[in-house]
Order: sequence, then C-alpha cells, then structure tokens
Amino acid sequence: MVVTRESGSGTRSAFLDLFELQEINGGQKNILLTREAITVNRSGSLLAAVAGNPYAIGYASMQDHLLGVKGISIDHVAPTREHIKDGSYPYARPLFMAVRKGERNGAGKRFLEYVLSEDGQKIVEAADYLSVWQEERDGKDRKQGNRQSQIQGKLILSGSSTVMPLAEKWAEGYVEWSLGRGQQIGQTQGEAQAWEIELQESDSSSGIAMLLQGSADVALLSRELTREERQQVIWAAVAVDGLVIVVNERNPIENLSKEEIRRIFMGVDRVWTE
Amino acid sequence: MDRIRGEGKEVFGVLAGSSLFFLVLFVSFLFGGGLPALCRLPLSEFLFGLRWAPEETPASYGILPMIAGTGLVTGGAVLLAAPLGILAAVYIKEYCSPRFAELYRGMLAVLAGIPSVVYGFFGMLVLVPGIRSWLGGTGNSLLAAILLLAFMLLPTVTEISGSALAEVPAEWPLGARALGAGKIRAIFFVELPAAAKGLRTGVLLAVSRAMGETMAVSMVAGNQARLPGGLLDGVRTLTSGIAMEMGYAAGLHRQVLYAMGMVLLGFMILAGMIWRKRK
Repeated sequence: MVVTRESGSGTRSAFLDLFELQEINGGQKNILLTREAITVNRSGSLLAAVAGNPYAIGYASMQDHLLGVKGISIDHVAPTREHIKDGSYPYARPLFMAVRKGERNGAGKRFLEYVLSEDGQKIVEAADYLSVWQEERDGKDRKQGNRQSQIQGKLILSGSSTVMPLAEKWAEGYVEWSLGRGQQIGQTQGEAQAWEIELQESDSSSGIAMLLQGSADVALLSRELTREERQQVIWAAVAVDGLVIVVNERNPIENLSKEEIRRIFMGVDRVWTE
Repeated sequence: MDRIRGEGKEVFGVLAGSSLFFLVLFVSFLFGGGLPALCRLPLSEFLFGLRWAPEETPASYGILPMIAGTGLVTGGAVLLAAPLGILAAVYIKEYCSPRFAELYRGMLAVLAGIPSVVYGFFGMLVLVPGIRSWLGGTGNSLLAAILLLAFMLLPTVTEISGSALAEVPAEWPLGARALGAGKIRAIFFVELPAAAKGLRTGVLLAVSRAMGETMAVSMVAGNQARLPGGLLDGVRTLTSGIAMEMGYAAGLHRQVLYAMGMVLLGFMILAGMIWRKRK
C-alpha cells in the first residue's frame, strides 16, 4: 500500500523530483506516481497511515518523529546526516524561507536575516538538520535594522509541516537575537519587544500563497520556489533536510534500491502481498 | 387584527431577509469563482473527464471520479442509514419501554452532537484496520466511508423520523388494529405512510449532510482521484477534493475547485427538487 502527500506538499514535490517520478518532455509534465496511492495531508498523517498498516510504504522528512515506522536504506546507504554530507545519500533537499519584498514593516526580512545568521544556523545544526551557509539570494544588504520600521507585535510564519519544528526553535531564538541586535544599533528600549510569533502549519504551497496574500509574514517551504514565486518574494535556502522512505516498523525489509522504490511508487511492483 | 399582524413585521422581515441575503451572497461568490473555469474548460472534459491531474502540464481537470465518489458514498450511506433510522424510530415509539426510550433518545442526542473529526478518528482507528483484516484491501475504502457516514447519519434520521411519527394521530394505527390488522401491518401500511412527509425530510437532510461531509470521509476513504473498482477500493469525494487542494490552488486550478462547489450545490438542489416532486 502506497501512501503519498497531497499535491501542495513540498515533501511530495521533493520526493517526486529526487526519485524521478516526473516525466518532463519540453513543455509537458507527467506524474508517474500510481493513482492508487492513498493521499493524506500533513506528514503526521502519512506516518500514522504507514504505522497503521504493515504493508504500507511512504516518504517523510528525516526530521519527522518516526513512531511506529522506520526509515530504510536506499541502495544500501542508510539515511544519516553523515551520508548526506558526504554525498552517498543523495536524497536531500534544501528548505526555503520566503518573505515579502518591500515591506514597510521589515519584520519578515529581519527574521530571515536571523535565520541565516550564525545563531540561526547553529539552531539548524543542533536540531539535526544541516545548515546552509550562503548569502541571501537577492543580495539584500545587511542594513542594520530599518530605523523607520514600526516594530509590530506579531509575526506569522506559515507553511510546510516539515520546516515547522525548526521554525519553532527559530521563533524562540529570534526574540533574544533581536533584543541583542537592538542594543547594538542603539535602539531605544521601547522597541524590539513583545514579539508574538505565530506558527501556522499547512504545506509549502499554502504557505507561500498566504505570504503573497498578506495573511502571513514568513513562508516556509520544503520545495523549490517556482519561477513565478521567485519574482515576487525575497527567499533563501535556510537548511538542508534529508528525505527518508518509511515502512512499517514490523516490516522485515531494511533496504531497497532506488529502482525498486520507483517501481513501487509507480504501482508497477507490489512487493509485499497487497 | 391587521395591527397585530403588522407588529414586528419589519424585524422579522429583516431577519428572514438576512438569511436570503447570505444565500445569495454565497451563491454569487461560488459562481463568481467557478464560472470562469467553466468558460475556460470544455464542459464535457470537466464533468465527464476521468483524469484529475492539476499538477501536470498540461493539467487535467476531469472530476467524474470525484462525482462518482460523492455519489457512491452518499448513496450507500443513505441506503443504509434511512431504513435503519426509520425502523429505529418505530422501535422507540412502538415497542420499547418509556424509560428505555428516554435513554435511547439521550444517546442519540449525544451521538448527533459528536464532531465529524471524532467520527473520522474512530473510522481510522477501528473501521479501516477492521476492514483490512476482515475483508482485505488497504482498509481505506469506499466501504469504510459508507459505513462511517451511515453511522454519522443514523442519529439524525432517527430523531427526525421520531418526530414525524409522533405527528401521526394515534387513532389512525389504532383504528387499523381495531379493524383487525396486525401490529406490523398497522405500522407499515398506516403509520409510516402517514408520516411519510416528515420521514422524507429526514432522509433529505441525511442526503445533504452526507454530500457535504468532508473531514470524516477524507480520513477513511483513501482519496484516490480515480474511479473505484469495487467496495474495497479507495475513493475521493468532491468535498475532500476541494478541501485538500484549496489551500494552495492558484489560477485555473482554484477556479475549478469553485466549479466543483457549484456542482455540489447543483446536486443538492437536484436532490431537493426530486424529493419534492415525489408527492
């Protein structure tokens, strides 16, 4: 039994991409995932579905809490951070964060700045993701805080369930960080306070849709941004996450080849009697 | 006399009008969002297309599998829940002790109030694995959706049928008995037909609820966007389809989702009309 995420999920996009389950010829794109796959929302639901059925197979982020399921090796390489770093386990993808361009507020940009800073990336490593050290893509200069920006009381982060656990930690670290920065650039004590950071978990595509609509300040994505999206926001890769194929923990299978995985998800093979 | 009738007319008029206003607002919103899709897509491809693949290029927006999903799930659930509910109401009225009747009605009230998500959990944790063990397949199936939905509809149908039966003048079935009819005959040939209008309302309500149910169904049905081959295959309903993709759909995709809402509305109106015709 094959379980997959819903269409808007970044984890799903990354999965289809990394396992070559999309056929792209010229302007055409076909999806090779079997039509029989059970579709669920949220990574949590997918893991629950796999845990509930000894014959199930699905995919998730390496970070997800694997309760009742286990990740399998692919081509005899186990899904670990070391293997991702040394390249032997290529199934990893960057996680992205996007904020609006040209905000009066600037709150989103500052949060992004924080996330890409040393402190922000330390949190990434500590949380067992892999950090990414690179300049922000749009070359935004690191102006020390927008003096004109009114420091609003609320910051809304929305998007991928995969990135959420990181987002929570970042949210905690952000307040301290901005307080520290505030003192550096001589802001008065009246500013840089009482941040209320709200996290809304959905999926990558919903997150960026909300960002563009204005109902969120920061979008979290576990997939690449599309060409149209890139033009409308400021974005950066903020962490790297591995993708893991999961099966029920009672399943005796420990390893599959990439080709076998593709065939299972295309519906060609039904490896375990189903 | 006129004066008394006129009193409060404005207030009640406004309140009644506001319901109408909301209805109009809602329908125009739905049509406004969905009509563009119907203009851009050939209607037959939309309504009768078998392939739902919005992420592909070129994208396919065939909703027939989801129409079938909604139809099968609703039909199956009502087919189960209606007779059971009506007969349960008969039982309460005609056969059981008054104390038990009270208890039963209380239980029904509780069941009717349970949120869909909770039913969905029940379905996921009990129904789905159960079907998988006893009948095979993945468990996330049309059958699971039908059973769960029927379960959800039962309290409502029973309550409304109960009210309908209570409306029947007691003399009628009694009269039938007096004329020599047995109890069962009296019930089926006198009481039930007499309550038919109210019973029909209960069933219609069940149909509407079934067609609109999203959460519980999407948790147990598998959500495959294709025509099911059998009871044990998974299905996707129109409502689940809308709910799953609305968050991020853009452009034509979003308009198509609105159009699906229009289709649903159309079905509900159709159901209501058919019901009324069968006088």
